[in-house]
Amino acid sequence: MLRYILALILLMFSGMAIAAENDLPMDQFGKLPILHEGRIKPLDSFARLEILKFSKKENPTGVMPLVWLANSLFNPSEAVEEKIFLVDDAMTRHHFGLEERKKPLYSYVELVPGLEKTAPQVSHLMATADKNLSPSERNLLAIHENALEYTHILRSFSSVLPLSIELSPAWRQKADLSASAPVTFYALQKISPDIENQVKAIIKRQGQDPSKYTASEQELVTLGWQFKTISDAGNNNKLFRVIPSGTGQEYASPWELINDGKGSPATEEELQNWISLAAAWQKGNAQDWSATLHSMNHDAARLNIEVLYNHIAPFQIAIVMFVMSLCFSLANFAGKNIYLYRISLGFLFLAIVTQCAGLAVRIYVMERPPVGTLYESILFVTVIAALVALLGERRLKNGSGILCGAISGVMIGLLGVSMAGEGDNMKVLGAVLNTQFWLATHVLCITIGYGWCLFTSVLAHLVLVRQAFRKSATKADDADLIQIITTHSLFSLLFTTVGTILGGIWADQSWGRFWGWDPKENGALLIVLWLIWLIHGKIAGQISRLFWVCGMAFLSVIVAVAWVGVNLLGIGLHSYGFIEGVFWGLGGFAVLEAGLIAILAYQILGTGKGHHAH
Amino acid sequence: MKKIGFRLAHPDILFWVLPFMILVLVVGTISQKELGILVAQERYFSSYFYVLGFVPLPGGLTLITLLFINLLAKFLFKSHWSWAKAGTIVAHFGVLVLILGGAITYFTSHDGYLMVGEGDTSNIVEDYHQRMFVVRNGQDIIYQLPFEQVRDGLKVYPLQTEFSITINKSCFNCGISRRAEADQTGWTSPGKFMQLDLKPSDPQDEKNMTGIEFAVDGAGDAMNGKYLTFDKFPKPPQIEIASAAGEKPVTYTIAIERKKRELPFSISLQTFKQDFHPGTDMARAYQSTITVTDNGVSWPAVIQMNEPLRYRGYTLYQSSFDVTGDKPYTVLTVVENKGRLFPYISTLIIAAGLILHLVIRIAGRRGSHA
Repeated sequence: MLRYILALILLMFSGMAIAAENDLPMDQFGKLPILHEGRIKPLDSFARLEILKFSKKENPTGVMPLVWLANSLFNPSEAVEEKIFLVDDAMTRHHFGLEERKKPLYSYVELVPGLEKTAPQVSHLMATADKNLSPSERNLLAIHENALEYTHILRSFSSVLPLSIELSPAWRQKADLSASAPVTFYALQKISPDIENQVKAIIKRQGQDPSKYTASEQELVTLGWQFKTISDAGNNNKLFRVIPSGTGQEYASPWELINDGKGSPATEEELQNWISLAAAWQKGNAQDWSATLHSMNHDAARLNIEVLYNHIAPFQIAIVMFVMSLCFSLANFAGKNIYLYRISLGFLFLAIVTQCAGLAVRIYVMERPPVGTLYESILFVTVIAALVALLGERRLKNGSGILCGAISGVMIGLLGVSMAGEGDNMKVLGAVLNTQFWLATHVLCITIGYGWCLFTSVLAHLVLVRQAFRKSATKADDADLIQIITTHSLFSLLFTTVGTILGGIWADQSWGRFWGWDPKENGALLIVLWLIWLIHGKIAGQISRLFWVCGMAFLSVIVAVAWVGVNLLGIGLHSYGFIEGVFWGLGGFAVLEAGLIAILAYQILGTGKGHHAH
Repeated sequence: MKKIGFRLAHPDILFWVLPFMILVLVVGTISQKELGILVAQERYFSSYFYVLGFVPLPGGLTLITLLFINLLAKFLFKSHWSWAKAGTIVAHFGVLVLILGGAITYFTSHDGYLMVGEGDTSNIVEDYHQRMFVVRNGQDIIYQLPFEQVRDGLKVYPLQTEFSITINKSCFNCGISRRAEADQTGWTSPGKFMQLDLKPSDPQDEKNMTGIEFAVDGAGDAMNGKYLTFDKFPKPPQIEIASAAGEKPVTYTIAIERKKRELPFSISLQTFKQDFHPGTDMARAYQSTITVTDNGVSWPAVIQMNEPLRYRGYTLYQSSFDVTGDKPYTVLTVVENKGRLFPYISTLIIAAGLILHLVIRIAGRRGSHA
């Protein structure tokens, strides 16, 4: 079947002269709306997400995602040769019979034999629970899913775009096609009942063996087969929903207009625009391309802002700013200099502004508070930790706050980059999370708590490092830092406690109970208990100051476990963030932190710098 | 008394209780992966002690009780009633209120679910977990036994009947397999062709299919025989017995079902609506439009996600639905909880206390700097 589909894709446009290199303006094309995964987004976002899904890179072939998408839509016979599928599993490459390459990227054409060969195995794997699949089997499934999705993209317009099919004058007349008009599936639909009847008559008359048919009969049977194959291939092709088909958020794919009867004069007009776009793309006609785009509806402010957001990538810029701030901050610590101090402060400030701008765009685009998924919580916690650091620096005025803010920004920001690579990070939310009030109260409160805790932890690390290695660190400096850690630990406790209880109240509203010992609830409670233990232990003189600082430094691990770790269990009522593959990362982080804190504590104890709190 | 109070108020109790609390929290959470949330909750959080490996350790109830006593003693005997400590005192009081509310909820709350189809009315709440072995005469229960008390070989004589039921096999989580042809004698369909097999309990309680195989005796030759039934079985076995020739027979139903109780009011489902994110099968809202009827008075109401209905001490939440059949069914969780308001009150108190503490601390520091 896959070979037939490939043959059909190659059949389409193969006889046409198509510009190998298109240099058409893509900006307006990228702003066209598409309904994808529950929300209307610009084509620019769609193209980036799809190519990222297939190749784990936004431009594996050095071509911008929009150009790749346009070529796949309007010039599929050429697009199937593009090496965009990443097959990074050696076993899967072996099963597919793929040659080894430095970069394991393969084209759709290269994958087809392997896809056919492994189809029976995939049918079996689809019935197997995900937890019972090996990494290679998951990889195999993912390649099949990606290939199927790409097939839908390739054939999005196969119903309306010209086919390289020869049609006799008689059939052209029946189909109301002039001699020069291109043959399309849409046009063939008018004569399909006739074709079908005649094919049946031929089979009845001559039998099933095509070698016994006359040349004209063979031509007709081939035409019937081509029509049926294209028609079958259009079933369930709902990925490319770009035609507004009603009021509000209703959009349909070109195939849905035919198969589901969603066509209307308005959709016909929009479809014609897409046909014109295809023609302009194939001819490389910039004037027609721009004129058609100009006539299409793509002036929604949200789409424009999202495209801008895609291009600017504010969170990546913010990480660069955090890194710059970190570098200048370290330089400032090495040799005290007011300019270095100011530059590091400036970069931290710019990083925060950039991060806040990115979050503001997301709030505007998604029309909801900024945190609804694990990835979004990372973005928000980054900015909170950095903001709290700025607040701390107001008091410290020695660069310690800036250093802590920069470290927090870089580390949490990089975690965000790794989490962003898993698909669309502007997701619509399920019913229980789809509430503005609780997202704006409980979720923000608890994530502010996470951010505050992480800053407090970094500050505690700084105290440990100073005590362990700096001879010049005076008791007065330490006392100041300890007092600041105490204050920030109280703020951490305030936000995590209130956030946890608000979570309970939300659960009471949604699930009918305040506390259900759900892993996520327990994780939040873990932070609260840890903080209460340390704070009360210090007040009551049960623990030494060194132990207290070490405990505060270890807060980073407690937060990581509560924030990300509980998702590893894969159980509980919270519907977001169940992820796999972070176990080793989290475990490694916990071991590293424990080791680092232990070494620093040992060093401090060895030099007698630890102070008892009694 | 005061001496005891002072000892109970000592901070070392809190200092040693909290690590054990952290431990039980971590162990109880991780164990949910294997045991499921219900069993883990009972074993670790709602228990007085548990065993980790071979070491007995205090469970959640013991630790929370100790924490409450310590905090109460501290509040009563060792609080520094000064402005400087006002925030701490208020926050501690908030925690006491929270734990007290938790205790009231633990001892008084009941939950279950009410399932009603579009156009239907119901006031029956079924328990989520408690399975019952039940014999009904029409709709009336004439015999019932919690499933934990059902055991192989148990023989029961339902009231006002002349037949007996002997349990031959019971399983909390049953599998179903084909019964061997040689073993089909004496069985009534569907037990003739299928048999129940013992399976390990599923960590998710709802997934356990509880069932029994039993023999009926004394119901007449036509009705005596071997039967089986299980939880949610759509057509549980029925025994028809005519008291006299020519009279309409009485139908007894033998079933495994969830424990039921009645609400003092009824719910009629007018419509159930799912709202999807466009172009997906991901719901963004569920909504049940209902009519509440109490003492002959009716009024409309809407229940949707995060917007429950509260009436006469009951709270009804949109928790699930079933749209696979001829008509849609809504599933509403029904909770009766006398401690419901405590978390709301304690949140305000704790937040106010912590904020007050921070304000006093920061203001005091600024004052001392000045």
